[in-house]
Amino acid sequence: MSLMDSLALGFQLVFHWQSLAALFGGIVVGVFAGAIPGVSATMAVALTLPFTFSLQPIYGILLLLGVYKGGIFGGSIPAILIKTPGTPASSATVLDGYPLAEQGKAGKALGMALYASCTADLISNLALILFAGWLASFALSFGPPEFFTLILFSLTIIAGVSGASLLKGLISACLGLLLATIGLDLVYGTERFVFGEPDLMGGLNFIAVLIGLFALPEIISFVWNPSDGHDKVRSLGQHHATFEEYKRSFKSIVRGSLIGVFLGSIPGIGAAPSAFLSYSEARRNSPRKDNFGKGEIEGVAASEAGNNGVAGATLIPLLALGVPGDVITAIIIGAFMIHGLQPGPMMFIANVDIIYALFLGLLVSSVLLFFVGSVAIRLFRFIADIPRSVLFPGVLVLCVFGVYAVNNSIFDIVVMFVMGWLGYFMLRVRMPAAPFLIAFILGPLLEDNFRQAMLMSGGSFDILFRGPITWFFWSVSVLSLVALVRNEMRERRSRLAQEAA
Amino acid sequence: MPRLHRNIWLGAGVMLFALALVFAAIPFGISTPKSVRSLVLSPILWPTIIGWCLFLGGALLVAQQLIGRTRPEESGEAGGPRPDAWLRLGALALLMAGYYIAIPLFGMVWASALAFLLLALLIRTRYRVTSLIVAFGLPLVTYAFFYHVAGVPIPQGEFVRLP
Repeated sequence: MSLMDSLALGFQLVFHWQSLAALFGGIVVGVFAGAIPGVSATMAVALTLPFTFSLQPIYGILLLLGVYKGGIFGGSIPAILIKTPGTPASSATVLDGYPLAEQGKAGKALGMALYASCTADLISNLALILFAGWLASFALSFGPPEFFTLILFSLTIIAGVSGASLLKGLISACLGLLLATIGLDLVYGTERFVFGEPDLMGGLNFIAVLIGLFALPEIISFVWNPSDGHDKVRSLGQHHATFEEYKRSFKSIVRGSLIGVFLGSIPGIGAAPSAFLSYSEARRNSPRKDNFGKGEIEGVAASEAGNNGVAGATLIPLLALGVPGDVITAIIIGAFMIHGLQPGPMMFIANVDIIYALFLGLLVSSVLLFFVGSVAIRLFRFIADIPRSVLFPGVLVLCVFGVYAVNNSIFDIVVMFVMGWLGYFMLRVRMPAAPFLIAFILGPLLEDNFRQAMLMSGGSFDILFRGPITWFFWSVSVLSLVALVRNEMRERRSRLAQEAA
Repeated sequence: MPRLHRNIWLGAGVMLFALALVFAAIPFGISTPKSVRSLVLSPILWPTIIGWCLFLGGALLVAQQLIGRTRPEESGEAGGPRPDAWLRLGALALLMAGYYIAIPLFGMVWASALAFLLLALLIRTRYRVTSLIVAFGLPLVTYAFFYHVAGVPIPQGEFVRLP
């Protein structure tokens, strides 16, 4: 099938009102949820997921992608107006966004955040379209040993970069891998950790695990320390971002977008490091570097470009290799699976219409984000007024309905509650939950590919080193582990030196 | 007696959990068929590797803390944890258990409305009227979506049944 045929199929799927309505609805939900302090983009995607079951796969996935993209931009609104980043990735936006708001130029900061976000989003989507197909065609030659080493590499990097402590990240990933073994064995069909409970035979429900890990701990934390106090919302002011300012910041926006594309396409790194790197590069290269941190509009543009530049790129490993780039794409991979689709190179052959529809939908999403974002900025005062003591009980109810709806199983609700308490415990001991969830998703793939490789070789480990691709992934896994350990030791030494001082 | 760092407790807990996994949960919880040709294909191989990795992770966490001897981490709250916060957490755990039990009895909609109100009371909301409206409105709207649009058979309970 030629590129034009694939595009035509994608057009047929995406350019009618249901697809566009799903995308628009997703962006609205994402922007507003991301703008509510205490509701992260991850939580918004997790809570929306159960509502997509009854939709056609393409509508459901477009809806979730809309929530993802909207949520990342939405997080920058409270970062600028109340100095509270809606998502961790918006932390860099606070550095110059809030000083601008203090100067009565919040409207200018938010306008630039929106322009930079939409531009970066578009560049990131174009990168996805350019690279995902190429990577998928390369990955078509992968067999089980290659996939095993690829997933192992993804896990090392994800466990290492997702938190403050490498060891806690690794322990978290091991716990996720362990939970993924519950159910019937993949090769022999015997029971593993089922203990006579029929509900456990199919393994733990992915949605129950993810909602438990990412939504309930927020509710439990609020119960620990309930407070409805509102932060002071800065007014938008009379200043607006001008085309001249956009032109002046354009270099930083493009640089930030490319940083986002590069970091986003590596599984596990995510938006926050990209935003900070983009910000520091903009400061290093700007003629107004002294103004950074005091309310420099280019600083807002750079951090938002870095932040949004990852949004399309994280879908490159997801669509081409079936490996989620961050927690939100891990949730989206679950949505694919629920709709009977398996992301990876084979999807570019079996479901090429859906792939191209997603590409086109993502391009449209950048335009829709611009319009929804413009309205959300003006409505933020009302969004910030939603009392958390009404919001969180509502989130609990949505969690219960959503989790039940997946399998019509009350047992899944118990799993979600248990995972919620585990997630809260992990929060208290500062153990990152992201490696847990990603390992829980990748665990069965890792084991399945390992055992298939062993079946192919008759139990010989030589097959795991059979060619340049496996050697490449082994090498980068070792390199990333060495780099992570070195980084951890360096940070530890500097922490100890600070304490001694 | 000096206070032990939280990471030492965590590491020790992870090690104990890993030992319990390897020596109790795996032998009793995983059945290995006699036809297994090779150890690398056995259903117990993967969980055993994970168990030992967990043990190693826990041991390294303890060792890292003992060698590094950093100060105990701040809890992030002035004056340490408050007893009423622990009481609220206990009450939330009871609320979740009650919610689960109430679903087959009252149906998901009414159990959810009750759970909403109890949680709002637990966190002492100042927005009582709003809470009351949302407590009944949200489960009813969600029920309408899942039951009538998505076709999910939401549990109805034994008392008040919804159309």
